Amino acid sequence: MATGVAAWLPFARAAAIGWMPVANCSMPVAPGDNSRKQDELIVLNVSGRRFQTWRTTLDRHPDTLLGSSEKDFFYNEDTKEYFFDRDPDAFRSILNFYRTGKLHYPRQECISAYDEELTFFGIIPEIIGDCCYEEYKDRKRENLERLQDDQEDNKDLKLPHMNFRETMWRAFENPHTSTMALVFYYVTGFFIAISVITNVVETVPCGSTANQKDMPCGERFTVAFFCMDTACVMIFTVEYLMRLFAAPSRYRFMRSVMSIIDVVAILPYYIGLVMTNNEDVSGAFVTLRVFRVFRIFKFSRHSQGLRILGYTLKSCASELGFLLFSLTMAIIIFATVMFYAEKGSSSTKFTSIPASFWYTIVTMTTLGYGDMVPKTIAGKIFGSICSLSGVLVIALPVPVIVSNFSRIYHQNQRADKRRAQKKSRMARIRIAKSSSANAFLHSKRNGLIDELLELTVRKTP
Amino acid sequence: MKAKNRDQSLSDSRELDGSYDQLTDSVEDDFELSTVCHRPESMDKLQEQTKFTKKELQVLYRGFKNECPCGVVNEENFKTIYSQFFPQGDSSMYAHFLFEAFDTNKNGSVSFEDFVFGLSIILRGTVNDRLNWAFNLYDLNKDGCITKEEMLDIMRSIYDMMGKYTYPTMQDDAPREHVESFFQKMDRNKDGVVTIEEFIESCKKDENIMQSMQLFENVI
Repeated sequence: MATGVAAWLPFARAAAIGWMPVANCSMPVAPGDNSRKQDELIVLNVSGRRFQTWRTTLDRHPDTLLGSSEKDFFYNEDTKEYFFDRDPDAFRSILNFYRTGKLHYPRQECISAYDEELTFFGIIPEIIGDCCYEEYKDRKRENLERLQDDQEDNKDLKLPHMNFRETMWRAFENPHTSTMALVFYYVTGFFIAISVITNVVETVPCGSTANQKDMPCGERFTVAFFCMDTACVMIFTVEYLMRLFAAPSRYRFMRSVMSIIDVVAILPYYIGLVMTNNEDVSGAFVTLRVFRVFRIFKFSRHSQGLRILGYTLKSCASELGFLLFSLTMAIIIFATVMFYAEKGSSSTKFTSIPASFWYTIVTMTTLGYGDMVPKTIAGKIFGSICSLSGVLVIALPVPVIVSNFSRIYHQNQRADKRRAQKKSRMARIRIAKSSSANAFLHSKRNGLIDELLELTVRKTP
Repeated sequence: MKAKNRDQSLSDSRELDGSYDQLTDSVEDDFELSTVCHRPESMDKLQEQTKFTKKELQVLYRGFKNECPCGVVNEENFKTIYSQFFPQGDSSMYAHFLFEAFDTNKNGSVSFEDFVFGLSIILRGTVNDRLNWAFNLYDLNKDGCITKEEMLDIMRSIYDMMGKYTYPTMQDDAPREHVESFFQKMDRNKDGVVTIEEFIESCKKDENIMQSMQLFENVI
């Protein structure tokens, strides 16, 4: 808007009539307006398409190429026009910026091509109008991510002069770099699986012996299971210590999620070793064994899908929070209603509002165990409303989470595909470049040869 | 403008209180948005009625239409444009008085004809015309005489426009004092109001004012 307002300058000066009679002294003379020469039309020839505009329109933004004297470099004396060898479609929106003061981003333009045009004409992209700014930022971010993915792949190349520690860290992070790393990767994966299966089988009843009834396998083959557990924990401990040694920033590594999972996975074993068969603490010890199940999370180093899931949940934290909050609200409301509705009926299971929480949760998630069932008519009506609303409340945030997951998953897939095709793509680019360079050189050489021939022919008439 | 309010109400809880009736507002919206789009009279007519040349009219109209594509300026727009010339103070009151002065047919909007007529008088008119126009600006209720209250309003708006950061800094009662000195100078018969004859007479006698009038010669 500021650009067109300059045309209202005469009006602003004229408005001075308002305070002139009350002024105590005479008004100062206005500065002479040197730039008020006759407004002329400028012709801008962009790759053959001619654009015409007033000179004052271009002068509105003197910090750009077209508004400053930089455009004189492109002036063609013969045709009396300014010639630019650029894309005429992108130039349209640039010229509109001078005319209206607002820069728009045309959706069908490639983002990097558009950026280049803006840089050429000296316009900063931050002035893109609100209507198009979000789209521009989104496309730019996507493009940047794509470039970053490419760059990360380049990091896989072996850097010279890496000491032992750095080699080890790289081996841990990217198993594809060396055979040792691959072996380590598979061995740890195997032992995680073994440990998880052991934990599960430990509790299965193993068939009765002569004197006792069914007992779980863990109690029957205590020694075997203990040896298995020890082996797994030793492997995990060694792995953790090696990672800790190799980490470039130990403090940051210790704070990372994977390292915490590692520690939680092996700690119960050590605590169990330290504690004796004391009766009081053995209860706590049993609880501690639950944490052994966390070993299954160690698989996330081995599975990309698991990592994506974790990342999605983290990025949808606000949606999940909203889901939790709305569910809690609904549970409390319906539990209260059901409690008071069922208060009248005899031998009711709805003994208190917290007791009704269970019924509400089971109904809203459409599980319907049937252990708590309303008996009064009012209770049944409210129970049905509860189950209907449960479906709605749960269905609302789920699409957001799903779309987030889908976006991240596809991004990863794209990155993987690009990585897989990278070799062939590089080869293709190399061939194309070399062939065009060869053709260029060839034509130059032919030109030289022709010139030589001409010279010799002329010399020998 | 109404459509924006509708969107805003989703974020505050006015809707829940039932104090905002969406239905009727939306019906009115459609009729309001298809507002006036004014086209000025032909350039020849304007050239006859004002003292501008064809080229000057062209330049003026191009600037006018760029800023107000629908052909008329309403008060909000007017104030915005004016505030861009005087960023350091609050020029809204003065812009309001100016708007009243330009809007000769009192329909709440300034068309290109009003704009050009006003400018023609100020920039190309005789001294009498200009003084007449200035008197019209000061006379807020258009009753033919300027009272002290009207003058005080105008003075305050001018002081507001200059802003707080003038040098030397203005006192709070500077407008009032200025009004007193103005009335002393202009009010011949000391009856507390300034009529148009008194105004024109006093201004013509004042050398400063006459000299300032010469300013307007080269504005466009």
